Amino acid sequence: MDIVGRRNWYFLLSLAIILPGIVSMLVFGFRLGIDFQGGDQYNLAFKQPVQASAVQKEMDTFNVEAVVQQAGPNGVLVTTKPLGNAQETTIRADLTAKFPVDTSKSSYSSVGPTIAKELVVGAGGLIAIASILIVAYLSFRFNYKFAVCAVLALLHDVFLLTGVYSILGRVFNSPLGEINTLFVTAALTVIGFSVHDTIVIFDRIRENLRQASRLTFEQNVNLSIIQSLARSLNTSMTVVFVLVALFLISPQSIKGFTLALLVGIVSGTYSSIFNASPLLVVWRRLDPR
Amino acid sequence: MRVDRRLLLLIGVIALLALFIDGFAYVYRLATNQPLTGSLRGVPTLSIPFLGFEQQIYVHKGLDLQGGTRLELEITGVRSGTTIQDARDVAAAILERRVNSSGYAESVVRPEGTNRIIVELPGVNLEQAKQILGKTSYLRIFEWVPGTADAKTIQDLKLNPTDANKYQGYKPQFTNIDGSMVTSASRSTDANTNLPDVSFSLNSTGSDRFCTLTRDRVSHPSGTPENKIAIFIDQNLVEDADVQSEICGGSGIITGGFTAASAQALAVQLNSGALPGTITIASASEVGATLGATTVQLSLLAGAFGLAIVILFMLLYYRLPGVVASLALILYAAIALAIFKLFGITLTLAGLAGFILSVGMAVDANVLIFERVKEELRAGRTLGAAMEAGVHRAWPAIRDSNISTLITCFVLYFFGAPLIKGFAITLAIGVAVSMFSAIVTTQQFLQILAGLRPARRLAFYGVEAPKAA
Repeated sequence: MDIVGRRNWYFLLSLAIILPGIVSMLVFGFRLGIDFQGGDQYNLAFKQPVQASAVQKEMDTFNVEAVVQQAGPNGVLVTTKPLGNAQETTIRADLTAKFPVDTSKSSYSSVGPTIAKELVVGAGGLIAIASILIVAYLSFRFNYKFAVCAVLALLHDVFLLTGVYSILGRVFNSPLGEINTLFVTAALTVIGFSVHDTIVIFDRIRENLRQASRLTFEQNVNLSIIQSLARSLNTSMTVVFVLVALFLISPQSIKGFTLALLVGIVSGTYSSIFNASPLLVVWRRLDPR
Repeated sequence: MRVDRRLLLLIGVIALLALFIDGFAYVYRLATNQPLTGSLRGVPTLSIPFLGFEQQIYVHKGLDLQGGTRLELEITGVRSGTTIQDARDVAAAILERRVNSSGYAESVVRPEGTNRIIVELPGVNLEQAKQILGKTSYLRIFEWVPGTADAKTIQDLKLNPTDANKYQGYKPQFTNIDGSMVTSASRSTDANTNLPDVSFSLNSTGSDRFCTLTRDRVSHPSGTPENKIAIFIDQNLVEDADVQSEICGGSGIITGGFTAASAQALAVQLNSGALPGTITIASASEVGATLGATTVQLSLLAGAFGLAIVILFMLLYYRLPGVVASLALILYAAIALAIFKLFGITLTLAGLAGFILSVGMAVDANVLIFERVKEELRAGRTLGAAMEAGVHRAWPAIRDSNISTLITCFVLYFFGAPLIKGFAITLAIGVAVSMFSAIVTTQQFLQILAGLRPARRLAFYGVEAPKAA
């Protein structure tokens, strides 16, 4: 199997998925959760089926920019602009009176605009700091070329994930595509996993390079990828199995989170096999020192 | 490398400890003569007196898993003369008193950042939470007058009977000065003795009454109950102070055996009537009780299902080493759970996600080792040598990948929002334990296998015997 030789095809495939995502991010932006833009959110569970449109009609009377979405037959997700204390109490009382709300299965959250602002800055900063520290550690263990390629693969996964979510949230208008704190957690997990995967292959390359052999750098990298392939696929498959199970059974509030993990981990496996190591080869050709 | 008896002993001891802690609730039931099923009375607490160790051993569930309300409050409009941090601390202390006096177990009130206070109330909905936090402590000043308080009077005054009967032959009498008249109170220092005391100011009504009261009290001999003023918060006597001089002009000082901390506490209590600024809700979240329980069930189901898939896969793909890995994994899960319980780590949904991810990484370490062992076996090494080489050569990859995960956890823990912190801590613990599990447990188990004669058939390892060259 010649993975390194066909590298351009694999880069192309990555771009084919990432570019639409980036376009969507630039044109449509994100479907931001209340923790990033401020607002109130009711996750209502009902004792019997209720149509989202009925709740929407009721919410429209309050004039609070309410968006109501169906979340399973017996539930809706109501998102509004930030409500004051008094208005929140009124709306809550009204909804409980008019619909068969099961309060013990419902949840509510509210985020003020100041906190929302901090979170946006915080999330971007976290990814940046983590990336820098990982580059530093990998430069120490391998060298800076390996480190930069690992981080490029990591950024691939971050862009792919956020792009897919931008499309999901804005183009398909699905509540699954919401960007919230849980999404950031998922993105960070994906970063950890992606780097983890890449390092395993890099470790093989490092080991094979130490042994004197007649292989060229390119052949060496390809051999290392093949040698690690069983491990890469086995590990990812077990994680993917667990995540699919989680996704199917998880309640609406965390479905988006498990989906993000799923997308990210598939992407992380792909990028560590088909992007990170082939990139090393490209760099070596451009700068053969 | 042979089987290391000391390492085996270490694994055994850790396993026993972990099982003891995981099963502690049962030990506790036996020790307190409770039936082994049904709901538990009291909180299982493990205390080792000579180590000064005391910890409640149970899974601390976050609000998203047990239901309840979490509020992030912001304090603004602080009176001039106080810093925002001081105001925040005072407000937090006041809110904590309000919460505690409402008797909610496991509630949390803590300052955060410069001007925020986090309040977590398990099992309480948002409306109840607002009521609890809005409840003011009621400060009243009493004087001691000769006589005996009868039970009904004490009940009418809403006083704690023990406190009300503190002095034989004297009963408390309300002076009509209460918390609504305290405009501010703060800790200060006595200029002569350099000891901490508490200064406070009253509004004009309170000031007049306090002036009359103290003038009267000073006329009684020092040390007698009639020389004292008794400060009650709600029904409890918090301060029973000697009056050394009359206090007029709207401000006064309470002295008498304060430490810096108790003076601060009293100042806070005197302030209880009035928060030192305006409190607004910056963010709130409320989770219904059943919703939390459903989430826990789903997570457990997912965890069990995940573990089952992983074990099945390991057995089918790696055969005999798969058995070893499965044992190591179960031990790993037991140790991680014991650490969560022992250090009182709060488990949230994100925390569970971190833990499940770390299970994936623990499996990965085993997969890395076994792939290497297979390679070494194919290359014709003996079983013992292949296992040793397999662990040895897999180690750099395990080390580097886990350290970079730990770096990410570190960044998340120190800079992340609370939800992200919960994720980082369980992932970090999981990764640390998984490194131990892979390198010590799996390796020692493999070495034991290598020493067993029936376990030497290569087919058990999913490898065909290399053809004699």
